[in-house]
Amino acid sequence: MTEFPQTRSSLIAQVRSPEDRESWDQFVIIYRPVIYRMARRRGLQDADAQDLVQTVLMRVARAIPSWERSGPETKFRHWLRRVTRNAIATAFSRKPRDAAAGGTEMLDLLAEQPADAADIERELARESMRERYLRTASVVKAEVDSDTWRAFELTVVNRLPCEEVASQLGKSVGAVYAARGRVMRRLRDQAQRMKESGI
Amino acid sequence: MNHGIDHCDLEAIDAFLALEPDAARDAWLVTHLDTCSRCREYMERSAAEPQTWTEVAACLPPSEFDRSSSIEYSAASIESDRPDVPTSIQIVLDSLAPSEDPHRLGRLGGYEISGIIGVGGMGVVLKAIDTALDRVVAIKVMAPHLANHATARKRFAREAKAAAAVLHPNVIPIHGVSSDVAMPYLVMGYIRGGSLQKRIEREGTLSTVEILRIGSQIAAGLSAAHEQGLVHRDIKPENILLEDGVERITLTDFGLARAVDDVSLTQHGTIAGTPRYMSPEQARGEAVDQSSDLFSLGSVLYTLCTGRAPFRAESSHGVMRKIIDEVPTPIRELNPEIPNWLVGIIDRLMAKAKKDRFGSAKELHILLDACLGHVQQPTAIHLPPIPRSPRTRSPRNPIHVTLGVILMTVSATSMLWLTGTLAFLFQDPSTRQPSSQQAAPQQQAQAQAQAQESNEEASDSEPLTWPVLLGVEIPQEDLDRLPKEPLALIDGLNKSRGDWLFRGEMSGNDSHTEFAATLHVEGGFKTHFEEVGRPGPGWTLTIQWPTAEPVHKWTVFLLPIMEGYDLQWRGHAQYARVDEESNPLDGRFYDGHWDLASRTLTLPVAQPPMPRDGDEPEAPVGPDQDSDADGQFTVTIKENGELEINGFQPNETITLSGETVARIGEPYVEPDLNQLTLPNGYKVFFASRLQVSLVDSEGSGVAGARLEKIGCHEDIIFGLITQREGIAEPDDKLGYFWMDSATGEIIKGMELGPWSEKLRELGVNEPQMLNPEQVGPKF
Repeated sequence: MTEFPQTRSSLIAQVRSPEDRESWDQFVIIYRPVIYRMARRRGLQDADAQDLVQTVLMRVARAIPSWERSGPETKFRHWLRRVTRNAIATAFSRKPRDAAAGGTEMLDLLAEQPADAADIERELARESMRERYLRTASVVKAEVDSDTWRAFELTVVNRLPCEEVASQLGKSVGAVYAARGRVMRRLRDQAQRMKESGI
Repeated sequence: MNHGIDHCDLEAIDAFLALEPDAARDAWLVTHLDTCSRCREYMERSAAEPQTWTEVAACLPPSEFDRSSSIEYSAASIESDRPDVPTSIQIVLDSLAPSEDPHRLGRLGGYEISGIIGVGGMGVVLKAIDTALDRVVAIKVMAPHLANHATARKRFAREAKAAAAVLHPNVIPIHGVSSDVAMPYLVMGYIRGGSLQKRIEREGTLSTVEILRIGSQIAAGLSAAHEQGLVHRDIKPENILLEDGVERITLTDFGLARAVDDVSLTQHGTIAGTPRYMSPEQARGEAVDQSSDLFSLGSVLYTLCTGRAPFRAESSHGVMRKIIDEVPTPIRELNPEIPNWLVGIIDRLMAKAKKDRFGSAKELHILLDACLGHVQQPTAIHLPPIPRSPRTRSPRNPIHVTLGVILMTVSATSMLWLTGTLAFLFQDPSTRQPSSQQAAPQQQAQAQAQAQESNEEASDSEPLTWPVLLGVEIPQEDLDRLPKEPLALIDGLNKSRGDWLFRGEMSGNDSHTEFAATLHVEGGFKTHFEEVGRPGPGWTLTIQWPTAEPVHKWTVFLLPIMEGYDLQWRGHAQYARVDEESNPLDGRFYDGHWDLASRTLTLPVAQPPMPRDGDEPEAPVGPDQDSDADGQFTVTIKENGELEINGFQPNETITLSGETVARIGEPYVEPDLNQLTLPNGYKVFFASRLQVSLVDSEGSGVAGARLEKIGCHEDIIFGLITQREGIAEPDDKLGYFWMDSATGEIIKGMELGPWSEKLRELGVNEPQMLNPEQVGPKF
């Protein structure tokens, strides 16, 4: 089941300004999986976690008119981040029936553990960075040939020695260094572009 | 590369990382890196900052709770989150019961499935044979991913029922709905043919005759649906079917768009379907009503004229932004063969502001039909009057008709009286300027144009002034001496323009009835009388009830007569049943006296003066002193445009009165709450942006109002009650409520006539919610 109960169009309908809609859209792309993972880490089942994601996003979306009214002194992105943190904290500390329809006993456990805003803030920062890199990686992976990617993946992500990877792939050690250097540079540039485009 | 393998070349490493192509360099570098640790280090530092290396190493390893979308970081996986089209067909086909006939794909209910017609956002469309009736039908099976969602299922059922109520040759017939099964489905008529989209792709632009024929039929189908209170929301060429062999179009997916809307999107997907034909209000995410469909229809006609959609961009957002902000390329630049008048009609349909579009699909249908008649028989049938710009009034404007008919049929006496009135209005404006005016004629004309323009634009926010009204400059010292009173009335009338919910009362014959009506106010300084001659000032107030299908109509026409700086008012008021043909002269003429202190225009009945032989038409005279006070009514106009009408007597036994309750169509602001309880145990909650519901203490639904019927005016939330438990079809006739948004207090509300009895039959206890009740929590 990959569908969330409520969809982007209903979320986005809450955002009036077309400029903000794009930021919001990007925001949702990144934060859906982020909030989902945070919920799963707290013991929610897949369906419940999805419901919680939706609850949080709807709550954030509903708050958007208040931002639109108060005027754009603060950056939309920063504001979203703050509101999201609060919404997650609220959702995690809510009674089960508020957090998700068809809640489980795990939700009861969850309700007994009031979430700490500072912890959530840190986790949110970490997970959203992670999601950005995952998206970056998916773009770069599609651009390079598979051996180049494997050289990077095995040495950097799986932390295997370059020599071992070289023999595994049947390449020279220098080729492994060259390949992962190029992949890293692309990852860095792509991440930079994403940041600039507001994701 | 001329240096040896052991030579370090840091610039070459930078060039390599920057993807500058150089095969010799690459070969050298790969070999060099086999051994040179210094260059390996340089390469790592140059590729990315140490922090980035750390972050990447920390972020990319898959974690336990990654969803499938991010656990495998391939570009393909991003796409694969979309519902897999072949998969959804397969799931649907797998769920079919086996058929006894080996040529069939399976059975669904009483239908033998014989093929697949297509796959859309909503689900899979199957071709089937209704074995009981032996006819071919199309069955739309809700997509499996939607069927899992309770809200989508409910919407599907509700909207399908609403669509089924529309019986019209241009709307696809709904034969049945099955919403309680695992995979809900809808049984529709089967149309042999293709969609309008296919036709455009195949043939590009269409001829004027075809455009009119298609447009007129779409408008007819829409009109039938709009009369049922249904909004299509997704008018686009794909949803318009052309039947093979006959020149008939059929509108499909009626009212179903919304059921899809909430659920069909995937995690990374784009907005369902194409937003190309959306209205600006849809693009802004606002509530939509019937006029949204008119905009979409305008966009479809534009596409038929030019072969391309009016708003195009790379992304959905781009399209939506263009719909909101931009005017499309003029049709005649793309296809000079399209006549100007058709361009005018399409421009008006595609007006960004709802109020500038046609009043209804029915009106458009009649107009397009008349145009079609003209194009087919140009000499025999004249082209009907075509609105030239969004600012001109709609042809159904009652005052056009009224005045036109008056001028043609009125008796000689009345004629002279009226022309006396009208002659002044239709004079060259320069001749009615004050004599103190010294400016050169050209400047005058310019100033007048500007002033009148700004008057049209600014009258809602700025108080009306004499220079604006007369279109001339007036020295300040003169200005100070001029009366302000007459301006306040004009100002008030201009502020009243638009649509209002109107609470009316009818008393007489020992009975007293309250009714909810719509009040439409239109007018201004130069908007009327195009058909008679020259633009002039005038305002009409049209009150109609019941709101859904009006039976009664009460029209008040107010005309200012300027004598220097003094304003006299002339009125005409008429009450008639909409279903009966009536002569405009059935109404009566009135003279008006405006009192600024009470902001009330008192209108006693006027008697037309007797004509004098061979004379110029005489200036209007005052009220007939003999007329009794019974023939007098009042119009009170508050500074914000709210209106109250008292004591109108269409005949000797009935008196009509009423006041505006709230403006219709103001943006509705959703209060930030999920639920609150009234002291009587009723809960008021905003279940969604789509409706307000009132439920009793047991939690069962009592009444609801659809968002399209809810408005917010200052601190008042008001709505027409359109749904009630036990009544399947949404209906405008149930009643209305008026609620203070600050306290939740229901200030006013009432049942509407014949429904009370039906409610009693259904055992619904009423009308508790209709009495004022205080609630605790603030919104």
